[in-house]
Amino acid sequence: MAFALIAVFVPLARKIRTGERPKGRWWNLIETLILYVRDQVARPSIGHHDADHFMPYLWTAFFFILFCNLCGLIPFLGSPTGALGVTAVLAASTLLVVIGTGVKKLGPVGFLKSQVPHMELPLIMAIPIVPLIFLIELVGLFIKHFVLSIRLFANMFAGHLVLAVLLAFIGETWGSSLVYAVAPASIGACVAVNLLELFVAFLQAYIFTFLSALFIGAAAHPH
Amino acid sequence: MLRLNLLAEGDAPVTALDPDLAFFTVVVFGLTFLVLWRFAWKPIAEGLDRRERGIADQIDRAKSDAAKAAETLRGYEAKLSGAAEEATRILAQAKTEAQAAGERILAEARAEAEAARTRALADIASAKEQAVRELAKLHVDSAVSLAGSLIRKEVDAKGHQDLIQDSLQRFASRN
Repeated sequence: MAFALIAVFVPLARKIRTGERPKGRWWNLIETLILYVRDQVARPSIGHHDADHFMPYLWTAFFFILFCNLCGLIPFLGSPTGALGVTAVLAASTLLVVIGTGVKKLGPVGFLKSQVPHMELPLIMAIPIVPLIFLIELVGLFIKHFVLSIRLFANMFAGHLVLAVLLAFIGETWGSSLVYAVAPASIGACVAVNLLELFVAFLQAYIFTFLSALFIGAAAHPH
Repeated sequence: MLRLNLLAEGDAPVTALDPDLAFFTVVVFGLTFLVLWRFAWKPIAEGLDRRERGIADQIDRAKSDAAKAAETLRGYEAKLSGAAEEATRILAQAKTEAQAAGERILAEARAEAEAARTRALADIASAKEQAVRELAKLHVDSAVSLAGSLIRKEVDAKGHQDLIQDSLQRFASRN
């Protein structure tokens, strides 16, 4: 996966570096995705100026996840994002970037304080409520990123599971006359689900990157 | 009943977090990030920025050129409008001058014609006077000769001349 990413983007970077207009379908396709992530995902979520600092991470995350997702569509290859170990590391990376951004912008204490939203409360109520909200928000910070990993994992794994179930119907009816009806239906359904998986591959890469950008933006500009 | 054996016996559940996989994912993702950052994202970001600046410069230049072209067009239109006014003015002036020249030529022609007429009248008067003189002289000569022959008296040259002069004066006073 890493080699594929490097093989695609390093030669392309040499062409784009010249500042010339994109030529060819491949260059246009990849550059469209690159610009989409920057202009439609990162900049609206983080802000025009700050977003450029996070583009290397967001581009890497987007294309790493996309390539991993697309891997699952190639026969005899699995999708790495269909394993929780991979998606958890990706979500943990985003969490690190979020915490790093918050600490760099606001300082450690400022970042922790920023977890509590500003509330106009009487002192008597603020004393029990603010620590509680701080705790909830802190746990929520980790839960958000945990959900980020689960969402990606579940979507990719579910697609493979559905494919496996559809193909299992053929094995189950093998040897009986039902197989003549089941096999074409299963294969047709598998083709349809594969096309859906192709869409999901892009969608999940987008969602992960978009939510990462939102979390980073929230850490950089808490209020 | 459907028997679906996605997991072999002894395999970890799919939701289990494999530490080895996580570790290698950290290594692979981290290295990929570093390599792409250095050799791909940085040049790509530079190239995109350069292209954006180039496009922005081209747009600025195009706007500036359009403004200059509009200014030039306004200048040409003003000159064109001035030229039309100038042409009208020149035409009117030429017409006035032509009219004046025509009138001057007409007046000169009239004056010349009047002068010629005056000269002709003077010539006629002079010729008439000359003819009258000659006719009177002829008449006087004839009369003198006739009278001389009648009175048989010779008139000398001086008397002849005085007679002529006297007759002419009388003739002239009658005409």
